[in-house]
Amino acid sequence: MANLLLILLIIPLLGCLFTMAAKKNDVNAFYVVLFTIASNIAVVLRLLQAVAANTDGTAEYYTYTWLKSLNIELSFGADLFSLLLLFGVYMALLIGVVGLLPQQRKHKSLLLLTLYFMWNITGFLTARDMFSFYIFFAAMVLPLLMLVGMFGNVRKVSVLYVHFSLSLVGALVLLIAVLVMYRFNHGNAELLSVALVAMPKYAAFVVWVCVCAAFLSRIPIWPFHHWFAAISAGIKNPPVYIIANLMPLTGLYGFMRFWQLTVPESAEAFLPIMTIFGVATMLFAALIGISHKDFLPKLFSYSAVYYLLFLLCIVLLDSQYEKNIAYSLFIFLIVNASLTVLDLWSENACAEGHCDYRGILAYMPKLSRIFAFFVLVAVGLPISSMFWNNFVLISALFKINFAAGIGVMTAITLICMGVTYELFMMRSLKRIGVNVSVEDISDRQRAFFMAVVLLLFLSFFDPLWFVLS
Amino acid sequence: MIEGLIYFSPMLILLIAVFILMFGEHEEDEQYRCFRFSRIMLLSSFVLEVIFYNKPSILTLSQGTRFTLVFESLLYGSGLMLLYLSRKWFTAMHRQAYIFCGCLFLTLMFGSLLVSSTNLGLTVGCAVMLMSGNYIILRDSNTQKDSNISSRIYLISSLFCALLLTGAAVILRLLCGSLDYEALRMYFDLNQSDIRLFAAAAMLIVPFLFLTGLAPMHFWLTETFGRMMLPVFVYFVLMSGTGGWGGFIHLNIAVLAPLAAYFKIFYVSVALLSIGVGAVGACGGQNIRKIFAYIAVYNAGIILLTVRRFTVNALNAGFGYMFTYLLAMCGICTCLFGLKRKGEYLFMLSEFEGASQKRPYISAMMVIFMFSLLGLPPFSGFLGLFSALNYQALHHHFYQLIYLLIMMLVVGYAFLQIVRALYFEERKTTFDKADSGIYTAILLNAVLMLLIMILPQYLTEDVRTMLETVLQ
Repeated sequence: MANLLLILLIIPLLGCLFTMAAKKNDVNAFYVVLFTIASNIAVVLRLLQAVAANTDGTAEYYTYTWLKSLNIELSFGADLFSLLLLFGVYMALLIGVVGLLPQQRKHKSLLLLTLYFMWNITGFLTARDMFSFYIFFAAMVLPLLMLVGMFGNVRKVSVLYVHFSLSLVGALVLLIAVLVMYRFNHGNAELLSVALVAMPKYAAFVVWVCVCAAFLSRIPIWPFHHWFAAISAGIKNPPVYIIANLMPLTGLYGFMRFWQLTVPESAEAFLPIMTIFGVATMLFAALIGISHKDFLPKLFSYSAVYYLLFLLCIVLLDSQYEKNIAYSLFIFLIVNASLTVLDLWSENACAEGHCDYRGILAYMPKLSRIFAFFVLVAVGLPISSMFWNNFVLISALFKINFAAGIGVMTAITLICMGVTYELFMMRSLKRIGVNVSVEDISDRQRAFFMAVVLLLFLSFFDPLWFVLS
Repeated sequence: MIEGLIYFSPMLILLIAVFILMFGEHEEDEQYRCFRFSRIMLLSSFVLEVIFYNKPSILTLSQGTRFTLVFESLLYGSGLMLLYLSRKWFTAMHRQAYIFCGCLFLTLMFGSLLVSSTNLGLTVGCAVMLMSGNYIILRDSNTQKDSNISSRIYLISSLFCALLLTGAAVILRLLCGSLDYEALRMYFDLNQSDIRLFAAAAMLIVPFLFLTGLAPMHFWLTETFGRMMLPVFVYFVLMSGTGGWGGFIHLNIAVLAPLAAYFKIFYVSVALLSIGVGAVGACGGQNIRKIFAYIAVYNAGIILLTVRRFTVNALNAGFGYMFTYLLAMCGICTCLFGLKRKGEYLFMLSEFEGASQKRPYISAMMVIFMFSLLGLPPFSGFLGLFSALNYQALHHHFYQLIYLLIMMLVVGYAFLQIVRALYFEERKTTFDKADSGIYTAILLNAVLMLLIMILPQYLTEDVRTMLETVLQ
């Protein structure tokens, strides 16, 4: 299994090399990326099988002695949580790459950066010690900057500057925390035992403030929410939008790993503040989502609300809910990516057909059915495992903090109403001209999304149905 | 005698090369021959230096050790890279390169001697010759009025530094009766409270701050870089400072160690000032070479902040940082050689706009080298930065650590401006085709960076062993 982890890390790098070597203005690079993602999905499925077979739920580790004199060993490993997230991320990237328009498929730099990001997130989600975790956490700054800067249609350069600075600040404060922990632990520490590193009180306070700031800087919580919205607003490129939207996942995962066993004493004081800010931002994002007239901003608000829900679950609930969070996040990532691609396709069809965006789905029946399914999954209807798991998580939140539960439930209800209303408007025949010719999705695209629909639907019966026993 | 002469052969080769290049008669348009000759001489000198690094030569005032070998390797490596890249420039511009190559050998020779010197007289002589070499190379490269002024500024500053060095040597000779490092160290040990010794030590330190480009003696570096011809820019970035660092560190270990506690605050102040000036200065520039000149000041500050205790750990961390910095800077310089328009090498940020559309590989590598210089993982610069930051954390210098990280953020902003010009702006002009040599150099640099990142023990542990042997 250790070799499989290494393969998981090497495949995207090989993909990068092949993409670089591909011809300019050709689709070869696009196929390389598809193949790379598909290969990594196959490896993840094999690892999931191994993890499911293990009684303790963990796969074997892969360690590499990096700096012997400084007592730094980089170690990688995977448990059910990280593997499900990896599967979800790969699926999201696959959906994003499939969603590229024909002319976008020839952008070598876009495809190369997508693969490079994939390598970073693979390393990040499989990191088992604080150094490898930091390396991949900080490494994501570069591909994100380049993707958003080159393909994000960011109108104001200042927005890009602030977003980059925010990411860099996040990476630097985490570096401070890692260095201080390294100092007191006399070496590298496993992520599982990071919260148990013995430190003086003042040092522990500094460390946990830095850790919280680093992870929160990646999550659309107040006061960072504005910059995420500003960056996402102009993106019309599926993989770029999906990658920008995956960044909060890195913050969530950070909290999950650093506080897996216990919330450190020094960090306990932050929990009420985080809860208040989290719930308030959820409500705010939901209201903003309702006020928007397009689907994509609504989807952004939806993802912000859900990311904050997961954040609250991670910081407030016990580790027994870890699996529920993983199952729910897995579905959420796929649904979010699928809706992004489908919406961008319909927007593109509008642009080509010179018609109003609202009502477009009435002229695209194939896309409409798939779109409707994903919206219904997103709002939490009982057609995927998200229904069960969200039910469990929200109930637990109510049990822990009733007021927070009410706030969370209100925000989710509001944003789900907003998304459903937008679906209704997009299907409304009244909004579009009669003599409009709009091309529906191709059979290939339909088949691809039907497979994704099947994956989600079967998860309603067994969240891990795709793991062969 | 003959044995001593053989062991002195690396220096002799350099000396012969200097004489042939600077004082020989040459035909015009012979750049290729000049660079081939320089390359052969440099390589043979390097090979002999590695073989005889610790053998006693006829020059009894210097003694090679593993420590000197480490710095000499950096100097020779940078020299080779510089020769390789500069040939392209001189050939394209049809300019004579004899003075340039001669000065390069002068720097190599006196830089090496400066690192291995065991006598203050020799140190002073080498430092003065190093500054003279720098001045000649600056004067030779002058093509415009403003660069003429900057070379005069350099001349005046270096004369002042030479006077300081000579003054210090005279004071110490009068006080101690000898300029030998061991005798001087003993004298410093016994007379720590003598104010005249402090004055002499300060007079020794200031010229080295000037040579290494540390603030507030950095003005020449940032002022002269703007419109300087590209090979000279690379020479100052890669070579001039390295020789200065070797000599400065050696002087502190061998002579000034008893006063280390007194100079600690001074070094920290200079380092923090350099970091601040470098980072803030880099943000305000529109001239890419000036930006990197400020980055050089910023990096010199980090190196001083790291090595200021002159212990094995400090030197190990400082050397790690210096090596990764030089590697990244080397890559950036190569990229600058690869980006030109109508035969002209570019220097204003606006001229680089949209370069990625025409020269995607060079632009991509330039971004990677810049992020490595910034210390972001997974590039090799992270290793150097980690060594430097970890050293601060180990000694509980948390305020300095935070200051350093804030300045890193400021430098990040400066780099973002370059990234914006390369990638996010529309291309307005065309770029010349870069030859395969540039791509080869970039590839080699990238492979070296990759190896350092995957196998860092060669940089950290092996160098540490070398330093330990010397410092014991």
